Amino acid sequence: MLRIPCPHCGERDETEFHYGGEAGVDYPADPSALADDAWAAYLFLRANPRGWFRERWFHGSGCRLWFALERHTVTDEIRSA
Amino acid sequence: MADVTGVLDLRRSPLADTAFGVTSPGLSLDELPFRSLVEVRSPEPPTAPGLVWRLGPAWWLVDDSPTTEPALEVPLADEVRAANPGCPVVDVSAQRTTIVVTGEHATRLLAHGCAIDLTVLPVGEAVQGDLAGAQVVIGRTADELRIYVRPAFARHLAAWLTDAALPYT
Ligand SMILES: [Zn+2]
Repeated sequence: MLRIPCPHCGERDETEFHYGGEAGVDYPADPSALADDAWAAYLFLRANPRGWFRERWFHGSGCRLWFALERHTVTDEIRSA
Repeated sequence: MADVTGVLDLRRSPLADTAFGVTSPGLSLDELPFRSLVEVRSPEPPTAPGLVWRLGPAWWLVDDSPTTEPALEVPLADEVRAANPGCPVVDVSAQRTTIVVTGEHATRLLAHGCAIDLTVLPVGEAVQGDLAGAQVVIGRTADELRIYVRPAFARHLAAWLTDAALPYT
């Protein structure tokens, strides 16, 4: 069980959260202008680092807000993003 | 206007007919049914009667006595709306029922199913989180803990609380 520091509620059990994947993937400004491969890249391609990864979490059982943090994908160490 | 006398008597609280309740020197549990509950969105604490809990950033829950008149919306909602112009106010009375926990073992009891340290929860503040698998709001008043739980989880939580309370009664 990870303990996840919510910026609004403090440290809570992982089971109170939902995982949201890589942080910082913005919706394209003009999606209709994208070629198919660029759209597919936006939808499906994500970094998969061995090491620090900036990712989104949703505190569903608490403040019901999204936030970002950095997690080490090998050690599961967590630090604020 | 239609005759609404007796309409309030037709309500059944989520824990009605479950014989839920614990009374002992160190611990008591009870359902407090039909509270007037109103959610407010406002950066600042809203002006409101009764208890005002902070649920999250700009998110508040107001808890006041049950309504005495049948109405589509609890009168508390309009009262809070008038006192806080520009802030969205929604009647959520039927969304949760209230369980009151009192006694010296109150925080210890909840600790069996809740990873949040309630011993450091100050009077007048609330937390949202999971208690025995159910999403709840837990608020601390001067002499009690109030658990707000959704009706669909109320019977499960009541059964769990009754079981967990055994060593303390
Ligand atoms: Zn939170």
